[in-house]
Amino acid sequence: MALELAADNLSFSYKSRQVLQDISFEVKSGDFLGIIGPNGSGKTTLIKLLDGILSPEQGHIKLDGVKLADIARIKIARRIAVVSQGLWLNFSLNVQQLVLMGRYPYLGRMRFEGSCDYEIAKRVMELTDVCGLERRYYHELSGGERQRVLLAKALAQEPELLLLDEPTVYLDINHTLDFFDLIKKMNKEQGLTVVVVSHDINLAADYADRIILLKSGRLFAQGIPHQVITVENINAVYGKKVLVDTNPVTLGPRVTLFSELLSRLAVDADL
Amino acid sequence: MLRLTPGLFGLKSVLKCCAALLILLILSVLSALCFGPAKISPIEIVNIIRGGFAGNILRDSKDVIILSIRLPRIMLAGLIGAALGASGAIFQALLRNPLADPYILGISSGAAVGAILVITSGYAAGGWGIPLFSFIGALLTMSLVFYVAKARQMINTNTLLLAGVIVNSFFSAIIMLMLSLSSGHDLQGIIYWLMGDLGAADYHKLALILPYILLGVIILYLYTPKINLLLLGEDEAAQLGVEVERTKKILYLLASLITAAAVSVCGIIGFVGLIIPHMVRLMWGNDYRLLLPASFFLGGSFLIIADTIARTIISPVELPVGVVTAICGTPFFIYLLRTRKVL
Repeated sequence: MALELAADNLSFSYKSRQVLQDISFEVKSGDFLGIIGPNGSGKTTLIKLLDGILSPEQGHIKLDGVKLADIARIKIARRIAVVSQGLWLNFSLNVQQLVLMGRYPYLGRMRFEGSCDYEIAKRVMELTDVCGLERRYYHELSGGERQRVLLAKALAQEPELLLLDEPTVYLDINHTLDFFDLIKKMNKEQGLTVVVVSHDINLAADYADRIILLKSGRLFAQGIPHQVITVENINAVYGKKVLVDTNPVTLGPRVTLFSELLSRLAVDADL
Repeated sequence: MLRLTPGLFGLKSVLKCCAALLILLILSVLSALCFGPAKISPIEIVNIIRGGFAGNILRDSKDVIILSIRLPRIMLAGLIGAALGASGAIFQALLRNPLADPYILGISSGAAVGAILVITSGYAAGGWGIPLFSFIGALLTMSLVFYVAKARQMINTNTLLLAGVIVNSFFSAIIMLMLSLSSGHDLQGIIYWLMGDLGAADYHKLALILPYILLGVIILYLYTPKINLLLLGEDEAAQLGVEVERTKKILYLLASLITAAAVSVCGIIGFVGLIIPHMVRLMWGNDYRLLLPASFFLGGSFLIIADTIARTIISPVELPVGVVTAICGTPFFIYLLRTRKVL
C-alpha cells in the first residue's frame, strides 16, 4: 500500500484573511509527520486541505499523483481518515453507532452494515480499548473514552493515512500518552501513515519522525525534530525565549519554557 | 469478549419496526372509519369497503358516508401526518436542531399568505384556489429563503435557520395585517386554515399531493445513511465521504416540497412534525434508516387518530385538528421525556 500525498504551493484564505501561503511538502507511506506552530498559524486549515474538505485557492494537493479535487469524496474517505478534537452532538448516538459510521465509505447498495463491517468495528474497538462501551452514549463518556471512540471510528475506515487534529487537546497526560503510544505502534507495526497537528511541541517532538513548523501561514522549517526544534526557530516563531535540550528518555529535543518573570522571582527568592 | 449486534439498526429490525407501524396505521384507518355521526357497524364497513373494491360503489347513503366522506378524509389525514412526520425528521437533521419542525423555515406562513389571499378575495377557482395559491406561496418562500441563505454556492445551516426565521416573521406580520383587515365571515375560514383543517378532503386532493410526498420520502430514504453522518457535523460528514453541500440542498428542497404539498391542502397542522420524530427517537434511537420511515408511518397514525377526535368529540361541531394534535401530543411527549433521558 504505497501512498504519497504531495502538497504543492498551497495558499488559502478565509474571506480576506490569508491563512496559508506557499506551503509545499510531501507525506509518504509510513511517515509520522508532526505539524506545529502557534495558534492561528493555519494548522487546522492545513489538515482540512490535506483531506480535501477545503480546496486550496492556489496550488494543489495530489494523492498518488491525482489532484484531491478530482477524487470523489467517498474514495478519499477510504484512504484518509481524520480524528478531530471532539464532536458536539445534538442527538444521542451510542458508541457502536459511531464506530460503524466509519464503515460508511464501504456500505453496499442496501446501505446497511454487513457482518464484515461488524467484524472490523469489533477489531478496531478492541484495538482502541473501548470494549464494553458499545451501548453507552457518546455524551456520557469521559474525554479519554471519547477520543478513543473517535479513533476507533477513524480506524474503521481502514485508512492508509490518519490525520490527527489536536486529538488529545482535552486529555490528561496519562490518556495523551496512551493515545499516542497506540498511534505510534500502528505506525511502526502496520505502516499506518500519520500526520498530527499539535500545539504541544514536546509531544510532537517525541512521536513524530519529521516536523513541520508553521509561522503565520508560512512553512518556517521542516526536517527531523532535532533540526526544526531549536532555540532560534522556536524563538523566531513563538517570540519567546526557551531552553532546548535532549529528553533523556526519548532522546528527542525537549523544550522548556523560559518565563522571565518567574526566573527573576526565583533569583530574588534565592538571594 | 466483545459482541456487536445490529440491535435496532439492521435491515431486519427496520423492516420489523416498519411492519409494526404499518399495522398500527391500518388499525387506525379501520377504527377511524367506525367513528362519526352516523352509526355504521364495523361489519357493514368491511362489506362496504369490499364492495368498493369490487366496483359496487355508492349504492346507498352508508356507502356515500364511508367511501366519499370518511375514507378520503382519513386517507388524507394519514398522508399529511406521514408527510409532516418525515419532513420534520429531515429538518431536525438538516439544521442539527431538535427544535426544528417542517414550518421553521417559513414555508407555512408563505402558504398561509397565499391561502388568505384566496379566502379574502373570494376567488375560489372551483375549490382549487386555496391549495393552488398556498402551494405557490410555499414554493416562493422556499426559494426566497434558499436564495437568502445561499452564499458562494454554500448553504450555511445557521444562515439558513436565520433566513427562515426572518422570512417567517415577515410573513407572519403580513398574515396579521390581512387578518386585521378581513371581515368576520372570512375570519373563521382563515382561522380554520391557520390551525389546520381536513374538512375539505376528497380523492382529487389526495391524488394531487400523493406523488410529491411519496416520491419525496422515497428519495429521502436513499439519503438516510448520509443524514446519519450529518448529525456528526458537516466537516465530520465530509471526512467520512459525504458531499455535504449537495446533500444539504437536496434535503432542503425535498423536505420543503413535501411540507408545501401537505400545507397546501390542509393548512398548518402544528406539532406533528416536531413531536413524531422525537417519539421515534425516544423509542428507537437516532438512526435515520429507521427514524425516517418510522416517523412517516407513526405520523400517519397519529394524525388519523387526532383528526378522528377532532371531528367527533363535540360533534356536530368540528375542532381544528391542530388543537387536538397539540393537546394530545404534549402530555405524551412530556411522559416520554421524563422516562427517557436521551434525545
